[in-house]
Amino acid sequence: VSVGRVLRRIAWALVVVVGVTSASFAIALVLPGDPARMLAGPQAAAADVARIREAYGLDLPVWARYERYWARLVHLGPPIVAGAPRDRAHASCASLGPVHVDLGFSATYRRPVVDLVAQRAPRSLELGLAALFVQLALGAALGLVAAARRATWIDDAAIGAALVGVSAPTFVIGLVLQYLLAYRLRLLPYDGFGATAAEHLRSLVLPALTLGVYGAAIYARLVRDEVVLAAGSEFAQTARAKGASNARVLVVHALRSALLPIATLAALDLGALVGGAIVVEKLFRWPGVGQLAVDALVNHDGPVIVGAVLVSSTAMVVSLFILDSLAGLLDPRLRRAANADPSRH
Amino acid sequence: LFVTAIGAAVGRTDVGAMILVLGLAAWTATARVVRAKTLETRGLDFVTASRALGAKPLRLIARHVLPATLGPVLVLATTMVGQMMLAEAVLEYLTVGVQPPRATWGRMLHEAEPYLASRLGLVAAPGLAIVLSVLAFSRVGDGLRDALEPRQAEATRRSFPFDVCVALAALLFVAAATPSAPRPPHPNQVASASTTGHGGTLRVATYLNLRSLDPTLGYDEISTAIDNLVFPRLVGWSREGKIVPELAESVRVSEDGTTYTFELRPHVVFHDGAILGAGDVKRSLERLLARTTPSPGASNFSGIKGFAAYHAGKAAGLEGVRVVGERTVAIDIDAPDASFLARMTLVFAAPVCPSMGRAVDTHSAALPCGAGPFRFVSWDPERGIELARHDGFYDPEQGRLDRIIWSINVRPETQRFELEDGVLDYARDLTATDGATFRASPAWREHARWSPRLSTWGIALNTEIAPFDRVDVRRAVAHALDPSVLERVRPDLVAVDRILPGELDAGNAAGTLRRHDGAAALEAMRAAGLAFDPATGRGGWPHEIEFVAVADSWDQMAGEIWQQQLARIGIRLRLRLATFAAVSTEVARRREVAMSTLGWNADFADPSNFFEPNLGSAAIADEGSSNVSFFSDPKLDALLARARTTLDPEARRALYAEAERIVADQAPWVPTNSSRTLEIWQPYLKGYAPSPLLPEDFRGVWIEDGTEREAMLGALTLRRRVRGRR
Repeated sequence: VSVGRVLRRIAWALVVVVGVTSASFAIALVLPGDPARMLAGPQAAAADVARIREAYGLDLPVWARYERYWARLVHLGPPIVAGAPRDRAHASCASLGPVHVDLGFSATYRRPVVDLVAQRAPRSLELGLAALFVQLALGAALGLVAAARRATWIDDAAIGAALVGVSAPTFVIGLVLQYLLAYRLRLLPYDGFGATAAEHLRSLVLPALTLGVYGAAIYARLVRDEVVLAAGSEFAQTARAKGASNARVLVVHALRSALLPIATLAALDLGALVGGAIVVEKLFRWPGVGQLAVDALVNHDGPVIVGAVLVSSTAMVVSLFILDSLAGLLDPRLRRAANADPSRH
Repeated sequence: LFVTAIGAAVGRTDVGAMILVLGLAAWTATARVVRAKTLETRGLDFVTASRALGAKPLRLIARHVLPATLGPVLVLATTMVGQMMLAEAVLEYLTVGVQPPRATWGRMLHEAEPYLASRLGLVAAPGLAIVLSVLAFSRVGDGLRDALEPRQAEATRRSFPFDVCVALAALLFVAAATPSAPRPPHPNQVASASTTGHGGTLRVATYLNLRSLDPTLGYDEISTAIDNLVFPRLVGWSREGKIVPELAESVRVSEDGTTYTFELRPHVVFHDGAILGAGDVKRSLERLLARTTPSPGASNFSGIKGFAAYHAGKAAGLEGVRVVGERTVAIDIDAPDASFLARMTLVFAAPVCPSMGRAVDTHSAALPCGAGPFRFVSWDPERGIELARHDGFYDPEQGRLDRIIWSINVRPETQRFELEDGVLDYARDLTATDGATFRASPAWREHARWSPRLSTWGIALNTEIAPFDRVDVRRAVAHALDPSVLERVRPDLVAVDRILPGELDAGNAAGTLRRHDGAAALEAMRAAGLAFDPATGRGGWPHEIEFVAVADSWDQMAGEIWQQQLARIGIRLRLRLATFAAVSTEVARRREVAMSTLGWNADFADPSNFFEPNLGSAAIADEGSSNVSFFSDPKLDALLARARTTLDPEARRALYAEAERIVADQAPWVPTNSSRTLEIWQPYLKGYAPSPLLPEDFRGVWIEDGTEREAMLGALTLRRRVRGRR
């Protein structure tokens, strides 16, 4: 893989992120409703609302705000020491040595957006990875069982179960799981994030399971179809001829050939999950990007909307980038093709 | 998420736009899968062979690559169908979706969610429909593939639909999991009838999200309730609805009613150790009204002398607040104002610690500091707030608990579970269904109370937009509405016929002010020249009137009821759902919305607070108007002005009774109902008495056997941990 190609991809990724950020800036502006009114509360007098609009700079012209956003996004300044009083001009920055990152200031949370986002993005990543793990494990298991007992009632039942999972909204799955596992059996906490590492892991189970049950269907079907297809192919027959057991043929040889489409979907899913699993995060009080973004959309908190979109688009771009780097590893045939014919890539 | 945001900007739309939004959100998955599969196929031998034979790229794609991608794409398509239907149910959280009266399965699911616990059928019906259609699509997909890709055509066909059976079994399972009656509360260890006690940690929760704790900024139910414990004012409310001295020992009003002199209590200690003096009162009011403070409540104090100059940043100090002595402060107001003391009970006017500065720093989220019986210990925006007793408080009767842990953002369903487990000691956010099961449980009944709220809800008729610019049409609407239907639908609503809640009105405007009377409504329509014949459905107002409502709220439900009731007198409503932000901005804009719901929660318990912001012509603005009826009546204005300066309570009450009659006659605002809250608390929570004036007033409350309770909670968490490990 040449350096030039990587650079080109990074440049494209930047273009995508900048474009999406600008568009979300526009969205934050055209959302129906008045952000100052949302800050003031429904019963505030008109004069007080106007005062609030001015105090948070919501009366500035659009271009001034847009220009300021990009000018401040990455700039230089004195290093910020945690806990020390901040320079007024750098009140909403996070610093990495002299390099400052500024995503603006959230009027609803009264905190810098960069802090909010930095705090929540890892939690969404964590939930995303856990959910993806459940999806893949459940999906692969159901898919393999269905493929092994192809065209029997087991096949039907496995795929049917997976499809029921995808047809139930997450809030129903989530509430049922919460009722059973937390209320009835008292195995898990109802919601939240936990204070210690052990509590934290236990809190992770319910949201990850909910998302996992919901998302497993697509993998189950994909695995089943690809494995059935591959099991009939020549290399599988060769393996069988050499004495491999049926299970070995399915898992080692056939599943392997299905890895690429699965990884493609998984990368997309991960990108989307890090961008926020809106309902599940809300349901289980998981403080991730999704919850942040929904609240920001409801409260018309422009800087937070833009910040959350920036994070989710970056997550998407990064996970696709990783996928592309791994594609060759997953499917050797692809590697050969790319090497043989680089001009067509 | 990005596309979701676009959707949120679009809001409620038609089906076409919805398809576009959902399609935009999902096309990338297909694109990536096709790309991956294409790359894979391209390297295969038969493609290379074909290329060697001179096939053109387009032919290669059509002939070899497309068929290969078909399988995964079909898989995606057949499962995505279901996901898309569900996506709408999720997007509805952001009020993205089709407008009623058009119904979709997604919307049905979304609207059924609050009733999950009691009416599972509401979820099961659209759920089953979606499951069946997903299975159907999946089979069509299978068939298509078998037809197009004979390589792997399956030999046997199923004779029995096992997948459908699995779907039905899952539904039955969900249906069987209907919640049971609540577990009884944890028994009292010691059945003591003691009337005093102290100590313990109180655990409460709210479903609301807390935004600010600063008393000058917080303007919502939850921050006010919490701030009440932390920031006493100079004067406050007693349970009987009288204004009583709090931090002040006494209040004197001058003869002409323009000067209030407050004598402060000695030895009041702030949480940071400072002693409250007259200067702190002046500083705190100046902090509230400073030019850079974005307080939503500043204009409540516009009557103080020198307000305009100071608020605009033109004067160095607030002229009207004078430090007379070390513990004596005098406030001058421009004109006599019977509501002034009531305004001083607002949390905005609370004295705050010297360490909080002379103006509010919008960029600082430091914990505020006051002089109340409790102080803030920590605030985690994701979990909640912790309060501890302030031992320096002058009245130990008011601060008995050791700590209060106030969780935020907790769903009502979770609160119910936690209340049963004894993790929560008090709840007021339970869903209607859960509330009903608790009221039905004999063990809990004694500890559940409906408490009224100082609020009035109704319909605002924009008097500047046809047909509501005609008083007869407004009267017709007032007669046609029958709010008693609301009581049957929701146990927490109480039908009313007037603006002032009972606590403020004291039965003064005797008799019924507005009667539901269909005949009178039709008569009024005739008087307006819009005669309607209910038998034939002819006549009435010829156009549809848009009724704007906040989606998934009481608004929407009430709107649907009013729609039916008004159709009987020839006024046809079309419901338009939008977000709270959009609705609150639109209704406050001149000549924009003809009809909407109007709800008002008392800021302070005085009749003026109901009339002046909602019906006085001074409250009309082109943008952000709080008088959303845009009702301007010189007679009412004069009456309200007189009531404001009338200090005699009896005379004042008579004036407001007269104002009430004018509003009932002119009908710019048709009051329909007020609301009440179901409060439930554990038997070991002692000394709590609900009050409409002081919601969630935990001063004077204590937990019996506080230490044992803590041990029990510890055991509960431990048990969960052990079982979880196993």
